[in-house]
Order: sequence, then structure tokens, then C-alpha cells
Amino acid sequence: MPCEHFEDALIEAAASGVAPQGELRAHLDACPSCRAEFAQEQSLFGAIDSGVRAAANAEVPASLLPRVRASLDEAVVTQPRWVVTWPVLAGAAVCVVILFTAIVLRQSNRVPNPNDSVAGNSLDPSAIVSPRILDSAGPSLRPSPSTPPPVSVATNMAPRQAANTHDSTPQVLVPRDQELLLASYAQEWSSRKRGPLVAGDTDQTVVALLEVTPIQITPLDVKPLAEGNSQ
Amino acid sequence: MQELVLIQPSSAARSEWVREAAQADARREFEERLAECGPLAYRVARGVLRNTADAEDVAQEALLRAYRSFERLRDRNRFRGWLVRISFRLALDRLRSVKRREQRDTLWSQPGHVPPPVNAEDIAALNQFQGHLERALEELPEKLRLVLLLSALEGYTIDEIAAMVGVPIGTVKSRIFIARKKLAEKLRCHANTLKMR
Repeated sequence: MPCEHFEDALIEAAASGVAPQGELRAHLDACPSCRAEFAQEQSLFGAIDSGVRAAANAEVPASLLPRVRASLDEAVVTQPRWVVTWPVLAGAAVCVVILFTAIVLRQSNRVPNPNDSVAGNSLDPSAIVSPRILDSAGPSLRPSPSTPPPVSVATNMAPRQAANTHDSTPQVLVPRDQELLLASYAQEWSSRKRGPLVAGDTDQTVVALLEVTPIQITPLDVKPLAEGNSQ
Repeated sequence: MQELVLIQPSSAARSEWVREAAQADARREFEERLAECGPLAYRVARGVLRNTADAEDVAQEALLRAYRSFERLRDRNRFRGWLVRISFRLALDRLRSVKRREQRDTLWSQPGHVPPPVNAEDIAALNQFQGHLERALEELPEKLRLVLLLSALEGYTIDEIAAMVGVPIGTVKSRIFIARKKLAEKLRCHANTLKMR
């Protein structure tokens, strides 16, 4: 039976694997019981260490790495399916976004904000015609000198300059021989659908109210038909 | 009105080629790690499971997961630590499910799992003690158990274990010390079965 006073110190020394020193060393030299206990503790910790080492350093089966490589090959084969699928999904998503944007833009063109249009901030795309086009279209299409030229994107306008004029203005490329045709078409379209607004854009003068003369209807003089004529 | 858009028909094929090349690079690099870390994953799993087939399954699963997450685990120390932890975790899960399913006895006491003994007495004593040791190991807290297993692995220093587990070196040392003391407390009553070696 070890001396109680040194029991914990014995276990600590055996667990740490460090040779006992100082008071403990002196006691072990003098006490055979504690010396035997210390030896047993050392044996116990040695057995624990060797048992754990045996458990930890088991021989690795030769089949492990080939099995892992085979599973890696399968993983590589299965991976492209997903990789092939996602671009299709991404493309579909982009198409949906484009479609949605087109619908929104179309709806916003159908119901324009009158305030914006009067202020000249939003122009109908078909009404956007460059001064150069209007010039070439002749005096009938040219706006009055007092009105500012409409914000436009023309065939000869540089991209940066066009971007500075208005961000939401669509840009189109028109062949030279179709400039006049486009100008006349835009003029006709704007006069049909948004005549007053376009007039407000190009001419800041107040539009006079339309005077409509009352229609005069003369009473009809109905004469009874003769019997002979009715047949 | 037509809008002209510049397209590159070969861009898809090129991205496919780049992807395959990156995948081949990752595979090559992973193969280098596999030779070193495959046995590590297996030994960690076997230290928990004490069954060769189960440990092999767990190691394979852990390595496969490591391969899938290889982009995040290019750093060697990080890879090893991640693999050790995932192997340990998977092995614990497997052990619990096996216990729930079968309540089977461990294969740990079979003679093939212990170092070659000297004689019949040693065989009996060692098998008996080893069985007690395994049960005591199972009862250890997971943190202590993992560090003790890693410290018993050949070829890994305390510094490397600390990097693997992600704790300071002092913590590793104290965990090893506490784990051994706990095992000794449980096994002291069985120490008389041991022959002084």
C-alpha cells in the first residue's frame, strides 16, 4: 500500500513519463511499497500506450486506395451532368429575364406618363429623329427654329455622345438610303398616336383649343309617295 | 431593324476544355495527397470502429468528400486536418448506427488485432486487457479520444496534430495527458491481468 501523501504524485509522474525528482525521488528510494506501486503505474501506462498504438497503427488494406480511385472516377463522370445542365438553366433564366423586360418596356410605352412627356424627358422611340434626318426630309418635317431639337440618336452620332443625351433612349442603326423613309414614318406615327405630346415636345407654344362649328341640320321635307310610285 | 451582335462560337468548347484541364489538375494534386492521407483517414476511422471493412468504407467516404471540397482544401495542413475530422466524425456516426442496429460485440478482442504475443498466457492477458482498453477508449470524450488516437499514430508530431485538430500545442498535450489518466483510472482495476513487460 503506497503512502497516501505520495499517491497522486506517483500517478502524475508515471503518467507524464518523467523520472521522479526531489522529495518523491527520495521517498521512492526509501519506500519499497511506493516503489512497487510506481512500477505498476508505469506498466499500466505502458500497456495503455502500446494498446492505443496498436489500435491506431493498423495495417492499411491494399484495396483502400484502388477503391478510392474508382470512386473518384465515378465522381468525375457524374460531375459533367450537372455542369452540362446549369448552362441550359442559365440560358433559360436569361430568356425569361429578357422576355420580362420586353413586356415591362412595352407596357411602359403603352401607358406613358404625361408629365414626363410634356417635359421632354421621355420621347416615343418612333418620334426620335435626328435633326440631320429632318433636314434631309425637307422643310415640311423640320421643326420651328424656336423649338429645341429633339433628343435623338442618329445614324452618325457617336455612341458616347448618344449615351450622354438620354440613357433610356433606344438606339437604332439605319441605312443611309432609308433615312427619309424612317423620318416620314416616325412623323406619321407620332401624329397619329401622340400628336399633342409630340407637338408639345417640338413646339412650346400654347396649342389653341379646337373650335368646332355646330352642325346645322335642316329638317327633312318628307313628301308622301304617290300610290302609283310606291309600287 | 437588325441588331448585330458579336458571338464567339468556340467559347463554349474552350470553357469546357479549361474546365477539364482544371479538373485534371485537381485530380493530379489530390492523388499526391491520397498516398499520404488515405492511410491517415483509414487509421483514424479504424481507431474508432475497430473493424477493417467499416473503417475502409468510412475512409473512402471521407476521401470522396475531401475530393469534392478540394478547391477549399488546397492547403496541405488544412486538408489533413479537415480529413481527420471528417473521418473521425463519420466513424463515430457509423459506430453509433452499427451499435443501434446490431448491438454486436466488437471484433477488437480477436488475436489478429493485437501485437504478436509471446506465449499463451500473454495472449489471454493481452486480449483481456485490450478488450477493457477498447471499452475505456469508447467512453472517452470525443475531443480526448481523437487527440489520443492521433498522438498514437506513427509519423505525426504534436505540432502536426495541433494543426490537424486546430488547437494550440499546449491543448494537445494536456488532452493527451488527461486522456491517458482517464484510461488509467478505468483500467487500474484490470492491471493485475497484465504481465509486467
